[in-house]
Amino acid sequence: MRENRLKLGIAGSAVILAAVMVLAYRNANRAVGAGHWVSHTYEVIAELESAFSGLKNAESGVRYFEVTGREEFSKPYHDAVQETDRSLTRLRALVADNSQQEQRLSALLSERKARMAELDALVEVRRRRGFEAARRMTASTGFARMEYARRLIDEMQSEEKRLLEVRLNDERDAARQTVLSISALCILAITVFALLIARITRDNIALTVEIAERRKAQQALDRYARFFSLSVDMFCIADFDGYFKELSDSWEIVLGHPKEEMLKIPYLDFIHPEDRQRTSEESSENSAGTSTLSFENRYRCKDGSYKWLLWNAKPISAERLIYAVARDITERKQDEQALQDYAGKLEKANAELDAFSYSVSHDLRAPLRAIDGFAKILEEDYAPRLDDEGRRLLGVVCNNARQMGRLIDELLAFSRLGRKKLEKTTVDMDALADSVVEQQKSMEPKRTIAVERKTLPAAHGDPALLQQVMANLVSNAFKFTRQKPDARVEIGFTEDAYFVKDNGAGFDMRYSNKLFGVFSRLHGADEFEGTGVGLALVQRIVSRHGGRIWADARPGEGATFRFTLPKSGGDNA
Amino acid sequence: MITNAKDVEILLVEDNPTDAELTIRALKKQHLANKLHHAKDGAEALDFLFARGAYAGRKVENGPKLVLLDLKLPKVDGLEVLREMKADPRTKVIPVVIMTSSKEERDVVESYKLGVNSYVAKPVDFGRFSKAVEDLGLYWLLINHPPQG
Repeated sequence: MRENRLKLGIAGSAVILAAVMVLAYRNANRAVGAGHWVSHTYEVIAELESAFSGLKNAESGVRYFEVTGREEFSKPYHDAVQETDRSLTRLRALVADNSQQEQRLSALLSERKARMAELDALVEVRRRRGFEAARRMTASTGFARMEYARRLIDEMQSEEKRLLEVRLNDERDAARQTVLSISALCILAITVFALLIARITRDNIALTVEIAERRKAQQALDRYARFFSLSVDMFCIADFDGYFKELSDSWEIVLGHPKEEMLKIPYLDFIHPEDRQRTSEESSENSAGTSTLSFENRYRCKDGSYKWLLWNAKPISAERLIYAVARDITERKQDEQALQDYAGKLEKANAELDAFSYSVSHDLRAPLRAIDGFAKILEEDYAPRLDDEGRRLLGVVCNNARQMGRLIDELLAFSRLGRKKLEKTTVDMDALADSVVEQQKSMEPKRTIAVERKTLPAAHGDPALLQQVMANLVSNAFKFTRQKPDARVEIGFTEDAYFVKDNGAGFDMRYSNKLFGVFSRLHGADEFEGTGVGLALVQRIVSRHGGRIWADARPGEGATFRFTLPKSGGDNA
Repeated sequence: MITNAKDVEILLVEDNPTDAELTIRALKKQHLANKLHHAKDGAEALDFLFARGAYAGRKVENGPKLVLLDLKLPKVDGLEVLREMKADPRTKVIPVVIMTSSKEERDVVESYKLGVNSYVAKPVDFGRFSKAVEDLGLYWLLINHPPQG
């Protein structure tokens, strides 16, 4: 388009330039022709002058001879005659183009001929009959003829002068037009050149920009091509007809088939028979314009094994091509499988554990109940026959049976907690703390414990389990303040953590690492009763809620337990 | 363990002899054990309840007034006994108290689904155990009035 317009411009300019050049040439030619005619006219005028002076010289030569009669004076006359002849001969040639002048010249010639005859006769008369006879002859002839010749010459001269005037004008005219057309030519040429240069410059700039852009695009292409060949992921372009068009090097590396081989065979042939139907359907979707995201199938390797590939693909309907990237996820799939197997095993193990705890809770408790029950019966029925030591020993049996019962219960509760699904809701921690405190107080009605309750924010969690947390912590606080006359328990919330603080026995922070372990206790059974499961349970509940529990204590000064829970309405459930 | 199968008020289904003895002792204290029959497994309990086999002479309609049922039993387990009782209109109205060592939630849930009237986990502590058994016997036999039918 742009090229065509440029060509048209150049052609148009050339035509105009040629036309102006022809015009200029013709004007110049005309000027040269006009100049030629001017000089021709000058020539004619000069020749006429010369002819006229020849005529006059002939007259005066004749006079000399007439007066002197001396033969040597006849020579100028003859010379003049010859001179006149030459001039007239040249004139004849010069005015051949002008019939008027030619006629005048003919008249002049005949006049001159007649006069020459007269002068020749006069010369003869003088020679033969002497001066007087010649003088008479002179007086009677000559003057009229001479006048006539002069008139003819004058006419011719004035004609030539008129012609000269015309021709000079013509010459000037032609010269002016020549100058004009050459000037126009120059201006036009300069204009055309300027336009062309401007145009070329502009095109050049556009071209330079375009070249730079293309170079950039080429560089980008080269770069992508490098990625294409470098990528660990497998790039490909597939035709809607079911064949690969282009494959990155990674295909060869991952599957082991030479690329040329893969291009020759429909890609469905490489796919695991079980995945073929799905893949074919997915390809149809692609052909219909739908992109593929996270599609998985298996491709056959050179060695006959299969690799799991994860696909993203985008069809370009106009090109009838699918641009796709595949990733070898075989390892991940294997890991997933292993994980699934592991989960299955874990589930089985859990079920076994479940059955085991069920049987423990059932079967271990029955003999304990028998021990405790029969010891009690013994005490009831045979007390009078036992001494104090006997009764004390029975008491030890009962206490231990009960302790073991508690251990079993708590252990089971602890193991159940690991399997129990959390049923989360918004928990009113204020109400929960109140009911726990109430319950604890009712269990030890004789004690006076100052319980300071501060407002607690609601939490997001399993109400029964959070109740257990609070109950364990508060009962601990009650338990470990037993020996303090001014027992104080504080329940509150600071710095995003709930806390239960007491001024009881506390513990040495050196052993804090044992605080939350199952069956680990920081106090002797003779000091404070307990199974060592309570805090382990509490920690398990808190951590299952996504929270954290920690303690701060000093021996004899009390302990503070702090724990965090997901906020009510939060998403971190 | 029974004098007259006709006048049974409490059917105790318990395979563990010591638990049975402790239960009976607790009931005796409240004079509730006079008309008690002790079945040692689920099959026997069903025979008794539906007057089959060794108990063919009984009438289903004659009671008992309360069943104390252990869950883990030989032959037929407690939940199955409960299921069959609650499926038959003649035995459906008899109050059933599950007494078991298990505190497993799934047992509790399943029992209530089947229409159990009470669920008691047997405590290891004999004092508490006796108290529970006495309270149950008293409540279901003396205080509660089951619909006639």
